[in-house]
This record gives sequence, C-alpha cells and structure tokens, in this order.
Amino acid sequence: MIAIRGLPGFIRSEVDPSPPPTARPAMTQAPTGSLLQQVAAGQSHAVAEVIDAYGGLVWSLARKYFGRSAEAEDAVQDAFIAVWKAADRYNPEVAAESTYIAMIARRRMIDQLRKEGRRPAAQPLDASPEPKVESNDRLVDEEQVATILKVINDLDPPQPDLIKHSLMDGMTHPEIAEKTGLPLGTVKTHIRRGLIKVRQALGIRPERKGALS
Amino acid sequence: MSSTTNEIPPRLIDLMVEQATQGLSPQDQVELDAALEQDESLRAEAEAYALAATSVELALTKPQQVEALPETLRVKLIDAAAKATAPAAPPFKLTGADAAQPSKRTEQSSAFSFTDGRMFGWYAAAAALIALVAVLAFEREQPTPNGTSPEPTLAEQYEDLAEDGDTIAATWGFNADAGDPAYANASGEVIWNADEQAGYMKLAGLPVNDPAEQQYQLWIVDPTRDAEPVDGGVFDITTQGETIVPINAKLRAEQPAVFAITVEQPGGVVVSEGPLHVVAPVQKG
Repeated sequence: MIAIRGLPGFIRSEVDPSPPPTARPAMTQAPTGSLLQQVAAGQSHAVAEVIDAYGGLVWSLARKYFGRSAEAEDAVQDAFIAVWKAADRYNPEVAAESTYIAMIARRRMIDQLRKEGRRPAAQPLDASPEPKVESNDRLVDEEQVATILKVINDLDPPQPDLIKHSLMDGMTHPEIAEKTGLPLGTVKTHIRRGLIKVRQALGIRPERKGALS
Repeated sequence: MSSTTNEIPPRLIDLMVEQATQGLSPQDQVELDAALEQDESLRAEAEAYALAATSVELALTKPQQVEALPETLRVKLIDAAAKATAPAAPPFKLTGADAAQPSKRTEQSSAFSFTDGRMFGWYAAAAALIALVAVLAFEREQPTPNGTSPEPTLAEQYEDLAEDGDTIAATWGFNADAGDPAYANASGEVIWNADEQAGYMKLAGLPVNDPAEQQYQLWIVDPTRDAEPVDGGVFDITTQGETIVPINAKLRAEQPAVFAITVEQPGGVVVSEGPLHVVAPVQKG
C-alpha cells in the first residue's frame, strides 16, 4: 500500500496491498481513523486534527497555484471551508483522506483562478519566511511517486506529455491541441485514457466491467 | 438512477475530465452539476477522475514546493474552527452594554427600521448565526457505510420546495439604485413557501465575504404583516459560483413582496441601514 507522506490514510492500491507503515513522516502528524468522518459526525476535535494533519498539504498546493502569500492564505481558508462542507461525502473505500482533501482544495483553487481569468498553472515560488520541510519531502512518498511515474511513463505516447501539459503546465485542452498539432478530440481522449490508467493503478475506483478505455 | 462508465454520455465524460484537469467554465460547471445531481454514480465517476488527476499532481510536485503550514495561518484556521464548533447553546449573555451595540444603528437614518423587538431580533440573529454555522459544518448525519449522507442535498431540498404549487419564486437582480458595482453580477432565484414558512436562495455572482468582517443578511418585505422587513437570516458566500442558502426567517412572512440582501456586521443587525445591494421583487399574479 502506498503512503501519503505526512498524512493519515492511504491510497488504496492493487500494486502493493501491504499495511500502512507506522512511522510518522516529518511534515505533519498522523491521527488515527477517518478524521473527515469524525468531522461529518460533529466531533469538533477532529477539525483541528484535520488542520494539523493536512494544513501543510493544502498550503503547499495554494503556494503552488497562487504563489503570493496573501492570496495563498485566502485560498487555504476557502479550501478548508469546502473541506468541511464535503466531509460527509468522504468515502474511505475510494481514496485516502489526503487525496480527497487535496482534490477539494485543488478544485477550489483552480476554480478561483479561472474566475480571475488566470491560468491554473503552477506559480514560481517566491521567497518564503516559513521553514521548508526537508528537501527529500514530497506531498506523497517516494514509493507513490515511483508508482505514478511508472504509470505515466508506461502510457502510450503522446499520453504522458499530454497529461503533464494538462496537470503540471496548466494548459487547457485547446492549448495542448494547438501546441501538439493533435485534434482537440484526440487530446481529450488521450488525457481521459491516461487518467483511467492512473485510477486503475492506484485503485482509486474499482474497475468496472465494460469501462471505457 | 445510476450509470455505468460505458453508459455515461461522452459529453459528460469530457466535462468530468476537464473539471479534473483544467476546471470548467461557469456554464459547463452548471451543466455538469445538474447531471451529477441526478445520479450519484456520476458524482463518484467525476471524483474518480479528479482523484486521479490530484494524485498525479501531488506526485509530480517537486520537493522544494512542499512547505509546512505557516503558524499564523494555522492559528486562523484553528480559531475559525473553534468558533464553528461552539456549542449550540448561547455562549454569551447580553448585558445592557452588549444589547446597545446593535441598536446604535437605529439612531441613524435607515432604509429599514424596527420600532420594537430589538432584543428579540438581536438574540435571534446571534442564534441564527450559531445555528447556521453548526448546521453547515458539523450537525451532519453519520455517513452511511458507502460514505454518503442520507440527508437530501440543499439542491434537492430546493427543488422539492420549488415543485410545491404554493411556493412563490422571484429573481435576484442588481439594485442599480444602490450603485455598488461589486454586486452587478448577482443573479439567481429565491423561493418561499408561506405554508411551510420555508424558503431557499439560489445565488451566484456575489462577492465572497469574510465572515470575520462582514456577512450577508436577507430581508423579507411583507406589507401584509407590517411595514418592517422580516430578518431572513445571515449567510456567507464562499464562491462566486452558484450557492444555495436556506432562509431562516425570524418571523412569519405570509405574502412577501420583495426579498433584499444587505451586507452587515458579523451576526447581522436588527436594523439595517442598507443599501439593498441585491433585490428580488415578487411578481404579482
């Protein structure tokens, strides 16, 4: 099983179904159980635990998208409001809490950037007074990174490049089509198929009979 | 109703993938949301794409882009959480000085005025704030084993009430007389059912507010009861996308003629000076 660095819960994986490690990663503390379900059940102590466990994750995303601290702080506060509201829809059978929270936060941040007519691409980091975590820290651990990189690199060309353009360069599908010279429909199909492969590899969703491929 | 992946219309799959990778335009978001409301399995499918995209992005994020949460921001988040988790029972007692604070507004010219019931209204506004926060964030049902709540969503509650033949509806619009362009893009609908004394607002295009600084407050003008508007409750806007807000009227409103929204101090006020940024006049007939 693949651990999310610094965070409780684990992405379900058909690749390595071993139990989660007990060692705590450096970035945050690791509470037990499903904190989001506790939040949804009205257990207020879980709210602070979620902030402590996933605050660094959401903050790192905000810094990546917004760069400047003031905007990033607003984005983090907005993201956590969305997390509280979506807590009751969290299903631990589908994904780790960290991934679920990151998904919600990321969606809010992308939506905010779109409203402002800005590109949802990573922003360069400016100087930060906040201490950085150790240089070998990632938002997910090396094993998960390796798994995802393998999935992406094993994709048929040009799917790896298209996914990177879409997720890491913040390019829209039409922009990718223009850059690569591929028809827009082809770009969409490649990205969709690539994401389905990632889903399958990480066990995010059970495979469905007759699923699109 | 449920869908298997190979039954999902290609258009919806495109929207799901676009949402997961680049976000959607407001129009496309409305289209996707409408489809997801109809079919929970579609929502799961959309989230699966989003989770996959998120996982890839997290994995490819460079180590130097990973930071710890700043302590100042952590404190803000914890404080906000602590306020939200305050017990439903009133956490404070009004003293004479406390009670005088909101009434100061009555000494100034105002679009709205209350001749009595100030204490009741202030208590009610405070209680409404506590209840609203508690309901939104914490008084949820324990999730079922599949992680979904059996409670109807706000959208479902809205539609259920809207389908009642006795429910009236009005369209939100910018109040040009107030003249604040920040609210020029406000849109949406408000519905009210006098029999059930219940209603909802569907709002879009309002500026996101900081609850620590200001909150929106709804007023219901019902000329059949008296000249004073009914406090419809305070609420927050967290997105410029569409938001559904339940109406929390403090007094009965039998025949609303106009719904109006003001911006007030946190917790709302008993007497509003306006201006009425957004209004929804009820069409006769």
